[in-house]
Amino acid sequence: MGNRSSLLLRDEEIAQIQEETGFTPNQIERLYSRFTSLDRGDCGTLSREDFLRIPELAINPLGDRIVHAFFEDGADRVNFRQFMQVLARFRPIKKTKDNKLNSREQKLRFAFKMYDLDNDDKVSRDELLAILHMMVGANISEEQLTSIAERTIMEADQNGDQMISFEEFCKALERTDVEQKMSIRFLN
Amino acid sequence: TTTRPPIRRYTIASVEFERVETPFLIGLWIFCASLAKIGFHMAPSLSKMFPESCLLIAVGVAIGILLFLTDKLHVSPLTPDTFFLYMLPPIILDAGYFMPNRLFFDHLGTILWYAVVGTIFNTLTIGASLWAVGQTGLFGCDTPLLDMFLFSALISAVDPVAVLAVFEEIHVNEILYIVVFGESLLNDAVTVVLYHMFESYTEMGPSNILATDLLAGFASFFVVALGGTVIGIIWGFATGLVTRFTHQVRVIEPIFIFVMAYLCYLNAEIFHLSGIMAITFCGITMKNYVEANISHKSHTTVKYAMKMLSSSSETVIFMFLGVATVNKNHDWNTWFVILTIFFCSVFRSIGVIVLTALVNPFRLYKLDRVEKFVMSYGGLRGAVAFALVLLINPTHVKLQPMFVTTTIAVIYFTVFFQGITIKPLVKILNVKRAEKRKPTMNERIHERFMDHTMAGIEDILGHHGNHHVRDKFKRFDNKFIRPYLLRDYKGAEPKILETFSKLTMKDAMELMKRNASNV
Repeated sequence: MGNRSSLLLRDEEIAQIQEETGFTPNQIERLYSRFTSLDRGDCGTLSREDFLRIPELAINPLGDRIVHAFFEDGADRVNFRQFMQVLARFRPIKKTKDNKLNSREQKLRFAFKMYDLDNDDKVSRDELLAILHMMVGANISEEQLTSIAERTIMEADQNGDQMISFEEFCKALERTDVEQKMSIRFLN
Repeated sequence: TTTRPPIRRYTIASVEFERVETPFLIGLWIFCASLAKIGFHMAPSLSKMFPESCLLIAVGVAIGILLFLTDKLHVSPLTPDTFFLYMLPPIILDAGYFMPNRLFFDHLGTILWYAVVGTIFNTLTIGASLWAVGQTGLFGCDTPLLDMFLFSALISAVDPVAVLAVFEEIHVNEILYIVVFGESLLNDAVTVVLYHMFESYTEMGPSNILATDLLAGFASFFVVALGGTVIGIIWGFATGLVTRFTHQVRVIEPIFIFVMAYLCYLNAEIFHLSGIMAITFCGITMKNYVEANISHKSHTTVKYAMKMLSSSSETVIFMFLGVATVNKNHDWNTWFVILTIFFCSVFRSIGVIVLTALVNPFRLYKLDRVEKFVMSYGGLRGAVAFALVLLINPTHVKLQPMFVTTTIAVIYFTVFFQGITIKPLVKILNVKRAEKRKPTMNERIHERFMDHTMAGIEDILGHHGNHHVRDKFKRFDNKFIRPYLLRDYKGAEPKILETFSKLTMKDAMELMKRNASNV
């Protein structure tokens, strides 16, 4: 499998992806082989079903949202370059290099987009409630979840519109080490 | 006829000290230590300059000199048994129970790496170097290799009590703190094994050691470490299970936590396993389940009782170290003392540099130069080393008195010199400082959200890191453990609910306060 994947990935493509995302060629090849192994239909792109075939992801409470985040608006397939551009957000931040896709703001933007299902750049009470439903599960009463959601919005909301905008979201997390929390050590 | 004993008249008052001597003296010691502690806080300039542990040792020395001059009774209150059985467990339980679990397990690999490999490295290098110098005749006494290794085994372990005492005050960033502190807790397994191993080797005599004995030593490490951990986890679960049924008798809830943790420690010590590791993991395990079961008031009691017990033991330990310094049996050997301190510092730094270079490629957060420096500088030695050196049998190891003196010297050097200078150094080097606070609702939810996201990304990558493992454990916990150990099982995200109820409680309290002042 490893040999086949490196055959399929041309050098100029690697260079281009490296330029765009900051991954090393080794990491790109490694991720490409993962990409092809997820690609059951051998068509060079992944569908939602391809992702959800990963057993752990299927039981992840946020599985659907995570998969959704890989697809551009309206698209139902993702190619390797798009796949890599999403993953690049999770590269650890290096102080010495310039960080385009993996800056703190981009990491936060990614998380925010997962909340914001209708793309209006605001997280409403219902959007937050939907996420809480997924994470907390069924054993908890609806009223309690609603009051948790309301309290969360009240805490972050500064302009009184009962929603969390991206700026308010960043403000609420300013003491969180997002750089650490949303980074993965990619294997070489 | 029998002669009747002379009639003793009824006395109005009498003195009988012997009957209460032991508990009275214990009470007096604790009283003195606590008084000393109040004293330091009333002199802010003093406690700003010196860590509390230094001041306590100083007070101990003063008391020791007083006792020595009055020649009253030859007190050596710090015996190995009182230390290991009564004074150490509260401190370690406190450390384990209030351990930031998340942080600890995220860095467990690094912590174990330093604790296991680092301690073995230090023991072997310090022992070998002292022996090599001894061959030149510099020490003016015979220095058998095995005796040197026995000594280096006890001197090379970083002490959890001293590290806690000093690091609590300086507030370095949490990763640095957990690495140094975790190392000091987990290296106990290595220390126990190396100590017992070299102890029995010295008894056997060097000529009788077979290769199987070395292999047995290696195997016993796994038994001691894993055995201690398993015992701790079992007792931790048992405590969770017991507290499930205490809702009718709320007043005894705290006692279960203390007694069962203590039994766990003793249980591990019975088998010569690592008691420190057992009680650490017992604390870590039980907290998850106990906190959900016991009442709010019991929880407050547990928290304050534990803090009180650990801080008073810590106080007493440092004071006793001071008192124990003053005695007649010292055997001062200048070169041996100087070289031990020198080797301890040098090999600690070399070990940290080499081990960090090896571990950094596997870490998301790289340990930088400043942190390496604080880690090697924060390797404080303390009462564990002292208690272990007292345990050496002088009939087998002729150098024991010299070892005792040297151990005290090393402890003084690390606690005084390193302890006093570390605070300004942390400031000069600009080490990132910690800020402790309760999470807000947003932080709690969004951080959990990020965890799930990262676990999902790891699964997409097919790369099984921390998030993946944690996710697996959480799922297992929620399905098979929590429903059985918790009385009131509330679904998958207890932390979110906990934060919510804490915050609403706080709001309510503030509201009440405000209204009360209005009336």
